[in-house]
Amino acid sequence: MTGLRQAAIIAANQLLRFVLDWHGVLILFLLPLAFNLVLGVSLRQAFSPEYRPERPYRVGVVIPAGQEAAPAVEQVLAAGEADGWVHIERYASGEAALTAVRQRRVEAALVLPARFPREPLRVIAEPGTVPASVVETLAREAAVAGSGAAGGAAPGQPVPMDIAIRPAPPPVGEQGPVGAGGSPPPVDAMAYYAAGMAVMMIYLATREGTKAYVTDRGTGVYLRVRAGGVSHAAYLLGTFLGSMAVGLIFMGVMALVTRGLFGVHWGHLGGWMLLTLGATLAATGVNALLLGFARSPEVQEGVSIALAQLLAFLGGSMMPLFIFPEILARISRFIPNRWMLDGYLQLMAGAGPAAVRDESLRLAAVGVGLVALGWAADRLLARAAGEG
Amino acid sequence: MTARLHPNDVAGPDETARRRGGPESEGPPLRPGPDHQPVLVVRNLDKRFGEKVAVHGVSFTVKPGETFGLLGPNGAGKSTTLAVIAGLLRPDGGEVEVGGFSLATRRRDAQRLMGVVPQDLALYPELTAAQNMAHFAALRGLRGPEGRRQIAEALRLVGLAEHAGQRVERFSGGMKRRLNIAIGLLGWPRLLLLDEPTVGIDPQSRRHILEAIRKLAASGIAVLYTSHYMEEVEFLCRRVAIMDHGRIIAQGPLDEVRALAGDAALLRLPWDQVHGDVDPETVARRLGVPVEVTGGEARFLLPQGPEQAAPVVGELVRLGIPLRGMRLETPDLETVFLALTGRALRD
Repeated sequence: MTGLRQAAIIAANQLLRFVLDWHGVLILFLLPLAFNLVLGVSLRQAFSPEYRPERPYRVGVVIPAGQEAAPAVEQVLAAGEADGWVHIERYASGEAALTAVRQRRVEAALVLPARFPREPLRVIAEPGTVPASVVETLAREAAVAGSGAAGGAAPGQPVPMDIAIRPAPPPVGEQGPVGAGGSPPPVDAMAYYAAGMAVMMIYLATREGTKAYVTDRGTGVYLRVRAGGVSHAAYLLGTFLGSMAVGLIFMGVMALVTRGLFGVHWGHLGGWMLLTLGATLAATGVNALLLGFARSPEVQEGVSIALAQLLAFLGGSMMPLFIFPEILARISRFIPNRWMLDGYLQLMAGAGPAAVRDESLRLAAVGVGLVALGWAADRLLARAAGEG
Repeated sequence: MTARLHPNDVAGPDETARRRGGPESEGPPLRPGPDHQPVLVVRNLDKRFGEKVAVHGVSFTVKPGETFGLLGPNGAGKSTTLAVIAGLLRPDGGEVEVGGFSLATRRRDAQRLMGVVPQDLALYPELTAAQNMAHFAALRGLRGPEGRRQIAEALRLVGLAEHAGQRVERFSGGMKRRLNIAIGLLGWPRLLLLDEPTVGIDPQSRRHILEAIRKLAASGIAVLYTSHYMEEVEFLCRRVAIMDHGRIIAQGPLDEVRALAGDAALLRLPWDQVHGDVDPETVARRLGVPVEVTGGEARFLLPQGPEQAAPVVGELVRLGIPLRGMRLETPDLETVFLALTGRALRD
């Protein structure tokens, strides 16, 4: 109990110092807001209805004859084809479409089950790729249109993507925020970069705790605190709690400020909180891991900035995910920023907490794992230095 | 200066400790031993970093109300010894007891009796002095009115009461050092570990700090004071230990340790760029006495006493070295160190 109380005191102290360091606070908030503004304005074309890929993505489609929802789904797909986003190729069965995807004759496939809407639409694509994103969007529209035609299911629900996806029916009554016209507000460039910049800077916000820890070790504060009966475990726990507290406050302020300045709707509050908790934990974990490599504040600062930028680039914070080159799109599937960004974009598009549950859990799991690794590395280094 | 200091001058530590039901009160005592027993016992302490022996066979004790000086050049092992006593570093051999509690088996209890003033400024510059104090007080479990009272008393003792609300980043070097000490006093420890607490400060702050330490010792706190400023140690301490290369090479009452230099005297003279073409080693060989040139000053140890000064001065004149500002001094701890190691203390 004493250790937990001491950890809480250390975390509260880090939070207080973060707030009092207004130079740092300004940089932490102004930088992403400036990027948000610049990128949001300069790349708004990419988010406009006029934007098209260089060539349409080839999509295999399986639509059983006589299915009640078929005309509505066909209509959505035809609109996508006419729009220049996709080129439709017909297949007789789901297996044939799957084979076509595997043989790369098409980039993705969409299967309308005979028992739709009791069985959900299936998207067959390599997860994380651009065609998968595009087909997911079409599938969402088709699901809404199709289920309306078939007389069932709530609109606006996410369609999970994977090989042979079987998404659960949407929970009854779960609805994200809707726009004035009853549909979710559009995810425009401003909204995209509000999320993108926030997930880029969350690494620097959660660095506050670990930076304070490394600084304390260099200034004698660590010696003083440890000599006062605070265990290494309590010190590290306080450090990580401090990191998380700063990260959560940062994300909260960013959401409020971008809402106020740029009119960004972050979506369902519960979903946002769930995802933000996972994202903060993951970012804290990355910084915790750095403790094993960067033992001075200067090195830590340099490495963490470089890493935050790299993860931001690979995760889609700088270049929109839907215009990612194929190789980057594949890499991004393994980057926490991508999971964060996907989650926030889903929420912005109107999804509820269930839609970001997987991302949140994945982020939290990675965060816990990395914190454990960072903890072990720090303990190992401390023991190697002869600490008791 | 000593005559002006009296235990009753000190308003705080023991009184406060008694008031809060601390060490002097009844109830489960934290310290098992009576007051005349040493607060700190260090026996055959060893500490290695890989192959490097940082501390070897170090033993000493510090009693209540005593300021014990640990003297030695940089790298002698003083700070490592302190870090082991503070419980931060794990010793490779030997044992440490604080207030009767073994550091190996009752570390938390031992640490509760200690206050530590690290050599580096263990402060948060962006916080005020009071916020710094409050944070470290909270970590020691000091809260509420008692915490505030201790913070106020500690700040008053080091002369910072009027600056409690000021940000530390605006403090002078001396004020930071004083705050560094004030934080170490939280909880009114029975043992205060001071690691070079006056490094890099102005004479006024130094005097303030030294007087505060004398007051603390007079109030019954045991003080372990490390420094390479021998004049500070001579001012504060009745007993000293001199460390070199991780070992204690001399230990005992100040006068006895001073006597280790025998009849030796120290000849000091400025050694500046003008003498740059004269190799000090050559001078030492020709003179037949140990010499150290550091900080723009040459120090010649005269093992046979002041009588040896005449031939040495004659040789220096023959070498063409000007003797402006030359001083001949009686043995002090620096002379002892030079006599025992052949090197200057401030290396």
